[in-house]
Amino acid sequence: MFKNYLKLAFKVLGRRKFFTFVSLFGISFTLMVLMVIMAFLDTELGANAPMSEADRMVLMDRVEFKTQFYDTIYQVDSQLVAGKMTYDTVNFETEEAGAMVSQGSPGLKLFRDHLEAVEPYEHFAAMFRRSFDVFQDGRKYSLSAKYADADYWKILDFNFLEGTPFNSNHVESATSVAVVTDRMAREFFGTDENVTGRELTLSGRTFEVIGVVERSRTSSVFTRADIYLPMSTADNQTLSSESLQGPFRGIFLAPSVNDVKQLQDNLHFAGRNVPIPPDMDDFENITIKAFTVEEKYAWNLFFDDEVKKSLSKFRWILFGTLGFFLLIPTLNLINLNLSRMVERSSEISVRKAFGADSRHILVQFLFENIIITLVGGTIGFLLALLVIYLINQSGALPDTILSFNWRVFGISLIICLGFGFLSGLLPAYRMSRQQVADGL
Amino acid sequence: MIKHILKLIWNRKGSNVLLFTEIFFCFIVVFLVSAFCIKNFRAYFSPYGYEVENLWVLKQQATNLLDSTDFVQAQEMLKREILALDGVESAGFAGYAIPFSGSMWTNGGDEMGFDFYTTMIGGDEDYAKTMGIELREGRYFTEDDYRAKVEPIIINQKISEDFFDGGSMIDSILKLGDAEYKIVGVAENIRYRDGFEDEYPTSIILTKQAEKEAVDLLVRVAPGSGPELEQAMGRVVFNVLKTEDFNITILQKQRESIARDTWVPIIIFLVIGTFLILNIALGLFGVLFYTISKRKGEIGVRRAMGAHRGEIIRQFVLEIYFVALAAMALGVVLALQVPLLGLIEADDFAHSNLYYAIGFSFLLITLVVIGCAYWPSRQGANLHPALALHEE
Repeated sequence: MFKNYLKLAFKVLGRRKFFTFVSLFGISFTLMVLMVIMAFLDTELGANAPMSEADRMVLMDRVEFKTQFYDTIYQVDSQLVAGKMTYDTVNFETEEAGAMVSQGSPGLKLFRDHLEAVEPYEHFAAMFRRSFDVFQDGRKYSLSAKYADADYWKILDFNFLEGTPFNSNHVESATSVAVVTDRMAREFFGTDENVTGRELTLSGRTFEVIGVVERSRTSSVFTRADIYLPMSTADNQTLSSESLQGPFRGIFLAPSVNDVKQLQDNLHFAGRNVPIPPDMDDFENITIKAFTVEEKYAWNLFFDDEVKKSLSKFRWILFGTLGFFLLIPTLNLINLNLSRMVERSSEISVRKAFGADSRHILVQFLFENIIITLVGGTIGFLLALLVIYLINQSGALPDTILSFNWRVFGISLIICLGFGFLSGLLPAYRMSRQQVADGL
Repeated sequence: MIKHILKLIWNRKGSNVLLFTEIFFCFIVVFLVSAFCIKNFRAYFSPYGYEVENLWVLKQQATNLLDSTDFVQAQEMLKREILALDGVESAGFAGYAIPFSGSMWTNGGDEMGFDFYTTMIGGDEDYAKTMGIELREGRYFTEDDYRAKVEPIIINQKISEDFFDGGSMIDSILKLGDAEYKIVGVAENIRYRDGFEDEYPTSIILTKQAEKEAVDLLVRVAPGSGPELEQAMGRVVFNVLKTEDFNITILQKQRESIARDTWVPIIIFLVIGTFLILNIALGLFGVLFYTISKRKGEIGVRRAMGAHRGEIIRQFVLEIYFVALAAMALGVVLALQVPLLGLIEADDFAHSNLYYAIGFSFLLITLVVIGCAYWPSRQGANLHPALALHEE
């Protein structure tokens, strides 16, 4: 039966070329946009190398010092008692009136003295980034360098094209070794092959390249850099600073997904109990923000005091826009399908007259619509691959490399089927209830 | 005739409801996209208040570690040595906020009897010359100002208009927190966040080197200066500071890279918006083509009764346009609530963008609907009455 429907569906598609073109145009472009958005979200938030364990990670790079000021408003009752004015406070209330806030990324001391003792986590790595201007052959290269602990490589599974990461021996002995990305190797050394063993000089210190990694696909500040250096090779002043504020970030890997919440809570608790250093005694409270990967992404867009608020804003806006975006092509398709099916009323009536019931007709039309959506989806899929290729080539997203994987494909397929089902339901329902006599 | 058309619309309310919803949502999308784009385009092409081209910034931390006498000496030496380079036109220290670097300082209070706020930038006596800031009134800081009893301040046009009704403010005293400043000049509006923001109150104060208020050095270079000068400048800085821990940023590049964060969504919205319009237009065209060809009988009768082609076209086009008009009217009423109820925080300039966006959406959809209705109607009206009635 479905074979017949399939045959019929393609016959109908070929019959009115203009309608078919309009439908396919709408479907394929809509699904293309959805697939590109899915690919983008998957690249930024999904579990892909180097963040394959994204759902077990807790990112911590925000510490806030705050003193809240309050206004107290008194309600005073004045009375003349025996020739003297007396004043009674009847009522008072306090309300928040501004605050003194200093927020930024934490200093290394905050991690080493306070947060590394917090349970439960498997690995922890502190890091910070700085940039170097390197002049070579009359050209300037601005390199973004990331200084990191050795455990950095245990948390993030970078794809090593050659060589190895630096290990705890390198970090303890402050050996001048470096891991570079393939892009930097190409730009700086002119090739990304046999780069290990080559040397480069940063701020007067010569580093030996011991590994080449594939550039981070997500734009996360925790993974992105041109060159990775052992933490201990950084300048002493940054490392030995006693301040709780500084340029550092920390990344924790929880033992399992279920421990993430516990780890976040424990970190927040530990943060609140950090004693305020003497040079910052103007402040009353310390709060730290320990994010999940998605929370970090959302918070970077909205910067709400409450991380959860940013997260829900992010989700609402995302799904709202997507829904709204889908609504218009769906309405358009319903409109088109409705007028299109009118011309097939005689076919329906004949089928009904020969005993087909409404449900059969409904299924047939839905089936036809899903087929056309799948055809459009295939075109959209090819277009999406093209667009993703073009975006990556043009460098429109400088720190993100979009990729299309099976997970994105699966979700897109579900969206595709849903789209076909929704846009076909109303027209198919209307047609299936048509009276036999009208059609004939 | 209008009454007749309304009756026709009512008779086909089933399919018109779909048309109505589709055009309504389409209007909302065009409104949102055009409001976003108009706002950003207008802001991007209005002046920054200084010249971004050929402006470089030297950022370093090394002198900050010195005590204040050595700091002043090192900074002066840095400036002197850089000025001595071929191709450097002027140099001035800047504090608190460097254009397009993300830093910003806002100050405010109610000491003057009303809520006042301004963003603050700081510079030495060569700052305005290096930045290329034009003054509308008054003068820029001079060497003498370092010894002035009341600290001098330069406000921008926006402050003078927003808080002081645009009157002359020279020599007035501005109170900010515990500090008092004397206004010595009024500058053009200065925008330094990312080039896409509306104008905002900004003041320039004179930085005191002894208190390490301005570390970063702005350098105006001759047009066409490239990496050679950058490297030469790098060597000079290295010789003075004895460290390579510094960065020379070319402001124009910094601005382009910051602006990309806004251009990317603008392009995405424009592409998706164009596609949605095209999608709707094609769909509308297809549906109308089909429905009008189904109304042959009606056309035949009207032609036989003596109606001109033009009248038939007008009837069809108006019939569809009225539905679209109703949908757009609902859209306009909703969109107008944004500026009328002040749903977004904005001044008159920003609100005017919303009115432009409403006007633009209305025009665009009118054009699309009439265009898509005209061709099928013409096709229908071309029918010969005999042919049209033949089937009946």
